[in-house]
Amino acid sequence: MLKYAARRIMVTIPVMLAVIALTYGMALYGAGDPVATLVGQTENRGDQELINRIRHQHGYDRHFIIQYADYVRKFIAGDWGTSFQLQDQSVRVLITHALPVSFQLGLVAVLMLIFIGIPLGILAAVKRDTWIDRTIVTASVLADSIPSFVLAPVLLVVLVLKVGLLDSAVGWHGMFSQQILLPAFILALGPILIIVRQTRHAVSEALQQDYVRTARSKGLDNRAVVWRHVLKNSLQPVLTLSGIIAASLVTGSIFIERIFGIPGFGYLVVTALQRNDLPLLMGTTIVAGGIVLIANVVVDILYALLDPRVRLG
Amino acid sequence: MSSSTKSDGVPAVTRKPAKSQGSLLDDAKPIEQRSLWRDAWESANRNPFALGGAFIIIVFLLAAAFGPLISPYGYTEQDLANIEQPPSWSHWLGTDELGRDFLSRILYGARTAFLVASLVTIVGGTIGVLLGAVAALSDGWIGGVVMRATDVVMAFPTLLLAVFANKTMRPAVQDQFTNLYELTGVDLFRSRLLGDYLVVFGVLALVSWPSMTRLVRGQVLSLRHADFVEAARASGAGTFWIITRHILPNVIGTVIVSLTVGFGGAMLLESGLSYLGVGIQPPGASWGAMINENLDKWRYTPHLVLVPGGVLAVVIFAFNFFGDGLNDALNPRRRK
Repeated sequence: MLKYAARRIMVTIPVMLAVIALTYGMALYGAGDPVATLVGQTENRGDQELINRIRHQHGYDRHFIIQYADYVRKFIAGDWGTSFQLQDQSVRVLITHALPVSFQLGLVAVLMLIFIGIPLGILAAVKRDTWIDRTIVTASVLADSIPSFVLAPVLLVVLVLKVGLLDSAVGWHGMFSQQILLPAFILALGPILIIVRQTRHAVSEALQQDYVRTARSKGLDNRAVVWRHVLKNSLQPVLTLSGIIAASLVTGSIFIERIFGIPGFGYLVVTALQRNDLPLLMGTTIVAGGIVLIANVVVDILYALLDPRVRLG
Repeated sequence: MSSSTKSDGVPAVTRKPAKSQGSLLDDAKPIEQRSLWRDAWESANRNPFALGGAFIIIVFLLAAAFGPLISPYGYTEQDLANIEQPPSWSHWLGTDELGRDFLSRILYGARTAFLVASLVTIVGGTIGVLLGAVAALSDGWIGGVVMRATDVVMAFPTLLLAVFANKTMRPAVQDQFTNLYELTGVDLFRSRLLGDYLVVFGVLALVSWPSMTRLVRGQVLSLRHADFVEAARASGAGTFWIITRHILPNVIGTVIVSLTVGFGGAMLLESGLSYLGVGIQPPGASWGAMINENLDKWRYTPHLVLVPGGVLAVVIFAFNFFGDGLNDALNPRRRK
């Protein structure tokens, strides 16, 4: 098991290095020459010698591979650069302060996802091809189609202003406050379609297995069959979706957190975007890639723990 | 529809022919030849949601093609005497904060969404299918390299990678266009709009190919050693024949379904980028940007957010349902 886990982690390292290389390469070559831009704003505009000197000072004239290796070395050491705009703030401090907030929001969203999506998927599979099944599938496709930046203001106005269900729904007061309910719910709606689909598919498959027929023939009623036999065997495929869910939550947080005024990771991304803060944007992009990769590794290891065929195969 | 259709809606011909008492040759009824497309059409007819989706898609395509021609106002035409008007007979959807006719902008937004999404689907889809086929058919290191590349791109949350690439690539592309303008003097290169579109669709194509590559690779790999492919090879068929006659027809349905759903996804990404302010720049019309522009005045002019948001959701919904219907129609294994 340890060997499997170690191998799985080792495979991720080159991917992570490539993630950093892609991000760094785009920032270095795409965004134009920062030194020329900087000098262009002073009275020394067009002074090629000055430009070259500054480029040399900052090491921009070295080979890409060397600059990249330098960046990776600093990144591992915890030096993720300094934010352009938010004065004297290290990118790492900004991100590590924002992540716990988003993590709590994501956790509540995942809980909602599990307690809404999986029961709906099971219900749809058990009542397959009835109106209940069709309603659940249609509703989840609908939830998937409405962009969160449309749904959020609509729900805010309907629930807060018209119905008065929630007193105040905006702001950040930790994960045990009522303010987290609405943003977490909208965040959970993003990946709900794939959860419902996967659960429905897995449960439908499991219902056709021989052991289900055996359980039925020994006289168990439908509910007991689903709870005791089907559920355990159909939840594992759902686990594999965790990487997609993690990516979806990160993406969702970019839209949700600004609207709800939650000072998390997504808010930081939007701030970096609006202020043209390239170092911060690089940091958030690389960290987001890292989150998805870590989610995938954790899931694969969990999966191997649950299913010996994976680690031995 | 000459063949009899059973009450449960499954055409009789897809079932095994009823065994007659005598030998098989006694069975007078010949097996009807049916094309994939005819099956698909009949299946779609039984699925009202897919048909509804197709209808909405057609309306959307017409709006994208002809909307700007029939709209009474230009999409950048300002009427500063009439800003933020509620819907009226002269402005069916009212006007925005700059006095621009909102209906005209919605119609132009349809064109933006269609242009970007179709270019993304074509470019990303082609790259994805080609690389997927290469990864599945090549035995050497090329396949491994392609799959590692999909790993890397898919490690990023799609939208965040698109945002980042958009932010970093835009200045470079705009510089190139400025150079081209100075070099050629063609007015087209001076407009920032062309560069905008190019960056947005290029970036979205960059992030959208890996899922298609994985899909095609998986399909081709499973078909490569399927019994009927082995049988064809055993009877002397060449590689080209096998790919075009046996593998391609079996993959094409899945690819079309994936492209259809992907079209909706590309629209969602484009509007997401524009909503965040890194997609189509003002005064270009994009539904996502329109939502962003009007979000802060949401309480006073809710329709300025509701209309683009609603239109966007309905069209994506249509593509999702049409894709689901196509999946049922084009995938024979689903029809039992």
